[in-house]
Amino acid sequence: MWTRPWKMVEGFAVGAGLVLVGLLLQFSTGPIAWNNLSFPVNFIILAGYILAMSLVYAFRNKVYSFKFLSSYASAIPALAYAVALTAIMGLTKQVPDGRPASDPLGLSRMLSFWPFVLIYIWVSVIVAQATINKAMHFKWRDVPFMLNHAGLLIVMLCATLGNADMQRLKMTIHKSSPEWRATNDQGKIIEMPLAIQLKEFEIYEYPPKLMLVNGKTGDPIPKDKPATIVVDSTFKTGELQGWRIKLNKCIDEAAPLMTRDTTNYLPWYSSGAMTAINITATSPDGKVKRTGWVTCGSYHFPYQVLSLDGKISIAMPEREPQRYLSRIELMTQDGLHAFADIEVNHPLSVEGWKVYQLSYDTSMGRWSETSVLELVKDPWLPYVYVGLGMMMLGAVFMFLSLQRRKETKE
Amino acid sequence: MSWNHFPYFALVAVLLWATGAYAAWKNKKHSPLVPLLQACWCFLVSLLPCGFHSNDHLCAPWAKRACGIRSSCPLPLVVYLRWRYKWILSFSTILATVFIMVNVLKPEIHNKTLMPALQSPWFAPHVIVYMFAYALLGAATVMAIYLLFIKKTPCTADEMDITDNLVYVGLSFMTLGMLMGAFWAKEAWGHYWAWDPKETWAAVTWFAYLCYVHFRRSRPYNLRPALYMLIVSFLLLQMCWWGINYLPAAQGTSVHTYNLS
Repeated sequence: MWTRPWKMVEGFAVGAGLVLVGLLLQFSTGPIAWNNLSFPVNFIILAGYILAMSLVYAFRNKVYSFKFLSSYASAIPALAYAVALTAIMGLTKQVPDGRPASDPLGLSRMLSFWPFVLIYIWVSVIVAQATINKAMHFKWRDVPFMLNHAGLLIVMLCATLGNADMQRLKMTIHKSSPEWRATNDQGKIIEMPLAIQLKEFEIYEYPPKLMLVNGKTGDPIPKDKPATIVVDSTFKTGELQGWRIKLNKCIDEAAPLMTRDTTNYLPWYSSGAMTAINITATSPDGKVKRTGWVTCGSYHFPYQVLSLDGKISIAMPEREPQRYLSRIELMTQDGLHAFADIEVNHPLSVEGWKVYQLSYDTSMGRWSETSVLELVKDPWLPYVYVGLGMMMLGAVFMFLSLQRRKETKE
Repeated sequence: MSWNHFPYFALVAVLLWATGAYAAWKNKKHSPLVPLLQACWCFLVSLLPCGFHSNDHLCAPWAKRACGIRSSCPLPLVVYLRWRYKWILSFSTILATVFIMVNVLKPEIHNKTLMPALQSPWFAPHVIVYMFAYALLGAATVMAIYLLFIKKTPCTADEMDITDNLVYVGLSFMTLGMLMGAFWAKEAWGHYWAWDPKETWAAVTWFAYLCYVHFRRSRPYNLRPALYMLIVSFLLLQMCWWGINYLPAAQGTSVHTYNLS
């Protein structure tokens, strides 16, 4: 060992050294506090990193360990350590940001765990050295290599250093008045340069479903994988575990009308209305026949099941949202006044912020009068996207260049 | 056309595909029969998502299965046309048949709804590209097992070439799938990489295959460790693919474990 040229054994030894140093740092200084890396600290670190990488490259012929850094013998062990530590992260339940680790070593906060971070820095240094090396001896056939490596380097650096500059805030908006205050992860209230008022909250639900439940316990049948039928616009009859179901009437927005001995459902277009379905169910042997209403209930009314033979009933589970969106009115400090829709997968971009539909008042369901938005500002995002784009191009080139490799061989 | 017609279409498609694969084995390399049959099959399968569902509420597992079937048709054809690997056609025939059988024998997987975050133009490309990557890396693993444990004679340069090419194509598709996932996550959840358990295992898998690629370049004649690396990588991939659904550490924290009720 340690006779030149160094091989993978030496690479693994370097990795073991980094893990050891990381553990010592973990015990002496505690986990890494990423929040301290916000502007301008991250810029200083980036400048220092670039300088250090240039120096390491410049002196690679004088210092052997610097030269070793851009070799395969160093890259393979580094990747192996990254696999191992990331797999440990995958096997350990991670605690949410800002909470203390739930284990003495700090494995449940892997992103702040020194050995993990040192190994990733090692990987980034190797990638940086390999990139500089190729850039200094540039050839056109190295373009895929450059895209893959430089792209990955940009993503790793910008995502890590930019993390502390990223703001993720929650804002609950109402119909009654505009909201300009948002809260961060720690629950701190932050005044925003923009105000949002909910004009309308719209929810589109999947068609109602029917399923059999145990009349006593309320458990679905079969318990693990309930059998369901979807009552969509084309539904007339169906079968549920042998029971024949015939649809008599379906009211999308209904309210119960109770008399002394029966409950009837009538159309009722107002907050708290629910889906009501009138069905006739016939038992598998045809002996039992029941007709009645089944509803899923709402925040205002209880649900209703149709009892079949005392042991089992037909029920309607809560309807699942297909999509939901907030129609909002928006005002910013710079004088912008606009109306917009925000939906899951369709965030709104305004003055450097991205506004996402996050949630709503689920206890009110489709009648929710509030909507929860997430506001995200990530000044480093464009650079991360440049890196991601380079990696995608690199992957495409890797696929395309395969044929050429074969041809040159032939 | 309704879902009930699916098995007939599937049968015709599988027959075409199998004939194509057989012709490729049996016959001259440049028989026009093979691509022709594949093309018919591609056409048939492309009908699937539009034709068989009158309702537009495509559901998560169903869409995934459909993607699985579709992914296993045009892309292997590309691989075949480019490198003339006959076995890729048989391999994808088996893969496609398995997916079809799942669809025919377990029709209840269609009775599911798709949560809002999954309704995105990124969904199909992300899943298709990943399924194809998994299929290729699976093929590479089969190759590794064959070369390590079944084949008695030392493996040839050609066989290693096939394995390498499979990994390269698989890895490039995996990278594409992962990065598409990052762009999608930014649109849906507000961040491109959140170290969700699925993402963590995707990173593990990605690094593992990178390890193989670098090892092959550094020690081209040291074959056995490389082949073992492929098997380990594929085991890690299983964790990423479905293992996290059962992993205690991922329960309740992963946005990727879809609890299907």
